[in-house]
Amino acid sequence: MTTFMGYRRADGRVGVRNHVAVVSTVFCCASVAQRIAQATGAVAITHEGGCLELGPDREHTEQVLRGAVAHPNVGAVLVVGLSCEQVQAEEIARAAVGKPAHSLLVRDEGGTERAIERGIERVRELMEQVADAPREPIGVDELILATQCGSSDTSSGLASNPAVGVLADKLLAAGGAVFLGETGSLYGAAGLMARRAVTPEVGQRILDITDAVERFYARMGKSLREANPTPGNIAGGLTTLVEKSLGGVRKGGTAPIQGVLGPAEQLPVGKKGLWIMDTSLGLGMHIATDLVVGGAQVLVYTTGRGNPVGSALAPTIKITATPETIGALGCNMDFDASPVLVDGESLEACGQRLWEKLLRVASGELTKAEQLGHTMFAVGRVPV
Amino acid sequence: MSERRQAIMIDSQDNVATAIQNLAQGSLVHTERGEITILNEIPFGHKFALRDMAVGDYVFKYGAAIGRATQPIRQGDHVHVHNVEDITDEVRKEV
Repeated sequence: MTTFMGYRRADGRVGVRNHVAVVSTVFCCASVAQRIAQATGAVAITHEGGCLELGPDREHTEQVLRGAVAHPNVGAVLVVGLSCEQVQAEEIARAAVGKPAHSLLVRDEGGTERAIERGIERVRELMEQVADAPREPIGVDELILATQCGSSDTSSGLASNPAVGVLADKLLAAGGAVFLGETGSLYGAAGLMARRAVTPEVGQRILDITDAVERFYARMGKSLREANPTPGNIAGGLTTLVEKSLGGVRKGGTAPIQGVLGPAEQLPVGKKGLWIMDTSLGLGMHIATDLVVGGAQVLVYTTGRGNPVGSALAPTIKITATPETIGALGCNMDFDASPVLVDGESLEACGQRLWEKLLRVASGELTKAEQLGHTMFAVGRVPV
Repeated sequence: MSERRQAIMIDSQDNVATAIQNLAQGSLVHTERGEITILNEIPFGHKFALRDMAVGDYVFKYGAAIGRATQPIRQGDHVHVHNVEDITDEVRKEV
């Protein structure tokens, strides 16, 4: 069994990082959490939610915050609250089971500046507490890989996504798990994905979640079906929405689909294989956040024209196969898949290189987004 | 020695390949299905047929049907919106 060096957590899950996270409960104390994180080098887990969130929207926000503090990439937690909000700081801190966790309230501390001072002290204590956590050899069957694409171009569907598909198939063959999200992007391939589902019920869920997105747009007089492929896609060579969607879902590989998770729903312990997560109307980092909170420790993110952002919680491996993007955004890219297009490299060989990169990143090698500080945490709204 | 590849076939079941260079009309392109003579100019990212297709035949890419031919298509022809229709609704209904 191939191994990587990871952190075994109290709940049995395995992490690839040992972050100290500073979490804000609501938008009003996000800046306090960010200042504490900046001053100490901790990871800021902040969002824009507020007290008017109700129902599934609020449940999702709380699920994401609880899932973030419990995540195996997080070694310790400070939760910052204001005092009057619905999402209680102490409750979120309690979700960080088996790891050092504190909470503080800006109002109780006597305002933002005192809260920041106190928060910095607390975070430094937490950092000392977890500094010596050891990495140990862990089987790759304990890895959950999230996949995503953004700023796609023609190379994405031809090289990057198929190479990630080879990676996904390798991890699945070794007993791991892979997440595929981006519900709207699945639309044209939903029928084909449903046929790859392990049960008819799972297949129906795949159709239902994509239908829900199309219905939401229909209420606004829009249609995924009619807007795709876009004129830009067509100029670039994409002929049908089925083709476009298949190019995207290729990054999940070719395995049967085990099930469909809700937004930010955690993969049940012991479950493996390829899973779809309904990221609903989530965009960009909403999707990444949901996938990671669902349990993924690493995010593999293909991009054509290139974007530099990664997840705050999970190392994000940025892949492009467009040589111009390696040129223009080279300092932000982690993996060059262009040999597939330029040098005749096989998808198998590219996938093998990517596998080796994944093992190094899981074992501690920093991604560009981590090195340069271009990471983000974002919580999407769940539509009423 | 590896020379720059001209086209990529994603899956062995595919009946189209995608140009990864601009391919001139009349050029001979090496593919996993053998040498194909290009019948019209194929821009980077566009598809050409690896074998003849009749009206109503499915276009296969990624090992799955992505569309249906609306015109007869010859091996080496440009395959795109002018001779292929989308089958999204059909694919969704067939489950």
